[in-house]
Amino acid sequence: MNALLGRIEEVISRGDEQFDIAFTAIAVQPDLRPVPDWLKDQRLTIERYAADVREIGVPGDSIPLTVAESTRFLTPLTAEPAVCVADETVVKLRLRWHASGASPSYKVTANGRLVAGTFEKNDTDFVATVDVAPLFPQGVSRATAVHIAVEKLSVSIPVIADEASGEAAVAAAGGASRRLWNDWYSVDILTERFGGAIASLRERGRDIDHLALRTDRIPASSYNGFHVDRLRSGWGWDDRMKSAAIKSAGSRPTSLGVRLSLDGIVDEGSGIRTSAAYTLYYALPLLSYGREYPIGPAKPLEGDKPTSPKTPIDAVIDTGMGIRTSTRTDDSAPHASKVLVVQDGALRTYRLARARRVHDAPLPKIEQGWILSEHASRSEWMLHLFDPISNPVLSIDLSPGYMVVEPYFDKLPLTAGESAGYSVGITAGEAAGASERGAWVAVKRRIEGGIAVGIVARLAPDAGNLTAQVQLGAILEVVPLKELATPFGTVHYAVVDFIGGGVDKAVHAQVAGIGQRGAQ
Amino acid sequence: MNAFSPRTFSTDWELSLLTRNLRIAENRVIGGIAGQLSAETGLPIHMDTNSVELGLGVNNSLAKVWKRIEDVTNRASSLAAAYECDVFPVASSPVEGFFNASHVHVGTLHDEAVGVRLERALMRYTPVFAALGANSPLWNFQPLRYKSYRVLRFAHYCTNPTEPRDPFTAQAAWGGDASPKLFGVPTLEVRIIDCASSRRMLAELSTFVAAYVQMLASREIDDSVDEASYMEYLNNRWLAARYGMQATFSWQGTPRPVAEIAGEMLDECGEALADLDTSRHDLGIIEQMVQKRICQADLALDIARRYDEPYCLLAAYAKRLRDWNAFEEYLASAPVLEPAPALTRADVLDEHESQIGSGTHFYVSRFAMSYPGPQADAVISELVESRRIVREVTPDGGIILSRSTSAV
Repeated sequence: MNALLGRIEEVISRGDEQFDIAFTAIAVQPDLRPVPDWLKDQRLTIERYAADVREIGVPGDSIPLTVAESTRFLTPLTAEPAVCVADETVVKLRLRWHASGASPSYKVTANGRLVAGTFEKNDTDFVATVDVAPLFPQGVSRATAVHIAVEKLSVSIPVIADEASGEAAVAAAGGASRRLWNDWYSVDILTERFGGAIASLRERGRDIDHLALRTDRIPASSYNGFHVDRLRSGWGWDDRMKSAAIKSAGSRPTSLGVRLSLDGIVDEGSGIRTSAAYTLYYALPLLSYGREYPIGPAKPLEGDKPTSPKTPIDAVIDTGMGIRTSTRTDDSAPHASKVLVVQDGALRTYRLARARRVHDAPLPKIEQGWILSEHASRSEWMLHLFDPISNPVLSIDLSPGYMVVEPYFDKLPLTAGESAGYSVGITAGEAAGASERGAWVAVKRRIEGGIAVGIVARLAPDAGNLTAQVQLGAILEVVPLKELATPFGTVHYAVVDFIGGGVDKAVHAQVAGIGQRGAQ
Repeated sequence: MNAFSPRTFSTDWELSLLTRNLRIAENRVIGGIAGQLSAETGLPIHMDTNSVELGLGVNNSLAKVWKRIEDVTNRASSLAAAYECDVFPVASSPVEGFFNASHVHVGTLHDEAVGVRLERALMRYTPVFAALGANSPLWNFQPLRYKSYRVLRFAHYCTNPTEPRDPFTAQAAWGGDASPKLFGVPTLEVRIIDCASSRRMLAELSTFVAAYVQMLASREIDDSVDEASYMEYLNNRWLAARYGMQATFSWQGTPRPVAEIAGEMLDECGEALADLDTSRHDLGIIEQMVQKRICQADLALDIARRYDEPYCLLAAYAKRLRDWNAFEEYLASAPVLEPAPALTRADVLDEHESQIGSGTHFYVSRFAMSYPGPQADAVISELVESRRIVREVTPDGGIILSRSTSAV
């Protein structure tokens, strides 16, 4: 989670080693990004305990806030629900911080109509309950948004006609995002940084976000809590994608699912652009995306004049690509977080006891095009799927509080007019299995009168036994696996309905003879 | 005649600058600061990786090096303040991965063969210097487990365990715990010491280290090294990194608190201190550290206990260290610490096992305590035989180690 860095204006002792610290916000950690407009030039105050006041500092010194101290300043205005379905007409607003301290007014707009009012003060915050029905006198016929404005603050709530699937712009904690949803997942794609990054992958059944950030610490890396695509050049990763902003984004329904397309510039000097297309399958717990890096003409620096004859090798751009997904570990059960792959025809399990060093031996390429990330202590598994004809090299790391999976592809010598890319599938859920014959993940969702269990699997070509045994409570179902061709290779899947089942019942499964991880 | 003639010493003290944004000032700005300090003082002050390296010239007494340290650091602090920076005298940061040092140069040495023999002889004593200098417990979001992450992690291969060399076959070498550096300056350089936060402490420690090394050179140099003494050195080195002045070393096979050893070393080099116009009585901070078993890492740990968020800890630590007497103030009021228990075989096994997760390349475990191959392999075998780990040979990955499933 982000946190503020401030500049002290005044330190006021309240006695008993308690202090009020008045400050102005100067940056947002961990990347020192600009402060939001509503905080500029505002005098803010926090309370601190300090056994030694010298550790606080003096006016003019910087003061870093914790995540907890920063939340009310960085996301002062919240609205519930996060997404309005057509017949929901009540929105609850909460304002955790306001510059003046007096009850402010709000404006809620949609479809060119306006509802306005004033907040009321409760013990800690300003609150308001808004009936938005007057904004939709003819009901909701297409996805739109309700915009809430309180002076410089604003949030938007997507309003959707069809709860089952769709796409809408949202203002998420990490910044401007686009949200994709189907019956299984809600996925947020951050568009203002990283050239498009997956910021949230939430199971709608269990209401669990597999990419949730730790809320107790400022992350050691600003990549933590995201699934990002990265470039490599020279000896290691570079940060060009971190600052790449999406220039255009749009979505359309397809026969497979809603498709969200993004386009942006990575490095104008080298002519590198990026585009990504995300598809959340309608009927499956499966997110598919393709990332491309087209290379255009390089833009020379002002005043840069060629001084020597160029040869063909001079036009080559050393292009390496990879992904980085970080998921939380549990301090109380570090051994429960692992990465599983197939290498040399055998199932391999990796768990780092400490962060990698530069001189550590590299890991081999994966086989079969899958990587399974496991957090058994939380019953959370995530399966990354790649096209088996271009298996990436496995690379993993530990960042404090996070397990990092960062596979990468062999580098390519590209020139202007060429392009490189890859396709990735992601599925995440509460049960999984892995063996030298493949891997699978199972996830639940609510259906009318019960539960549906969805299974997505990547199987070895000679897997055989293409059935899934799925048990929920006392009911056992055996179903055939269906085959699906995707840009990241063939996957097998099954969806099993359990009428009368509850979301609190655990799933037990065996898929294509591959047993469940941790099953008794 | 002593190999060190005339008897001189110095320290190159690597100091980072912390900006108002709580970031280390980058190399592109450090060079100018270093250059200005060098021009003003006439001392060899340079830029190093993200730090200003204060070379403190040639000194022949505590008083002289102390005066230089005071003058240069006063000027460095005011110059840094002009750019809204603080001098950040730390060997490591809670939120970054760099390491800084306070190397001690012992001069004046012209005989490399003697230097190599002293390098071997010093293996017994460099862990003592490491314990006295331990000052990197807060490092890169890591747990508060070691008093010198810098020594533990070889300062990113800039301060490596000494490998015994033969003067008749030794090639030029750099980056050991202590070694002659005649290719650069006519000194023997003791590199194992963490960057000091207290400038007076550094003045005293550099004087003591120089006197001790010069004392060793004044008598028959005992440079004998066998497997037992080498392993004792490696274990003591690790203990110094783990416990600082609370460590209990193995001293020729007998457990002895490092504080006790340091006290004896102070006595031993009385004449050498006198040659540097100094006496044990003048080393008041070192004396207190020995009596209380406290090192500078303990000040950092005391602050760290009050701040869960590493960035808040960084800010509090940096502000506290604006006061060059912060460590002396802490030392005066802190209670005496108890010595840590002596190292056991179980500790060795635990430390090696802590490096192993699942699918861990076997060489990773070498970095636990820097054991050479045969001894490190013996530890792995013991862990395998006790079923704590599993060892596999893979076609592509080589030897990999994994915790047994029963031991998670």
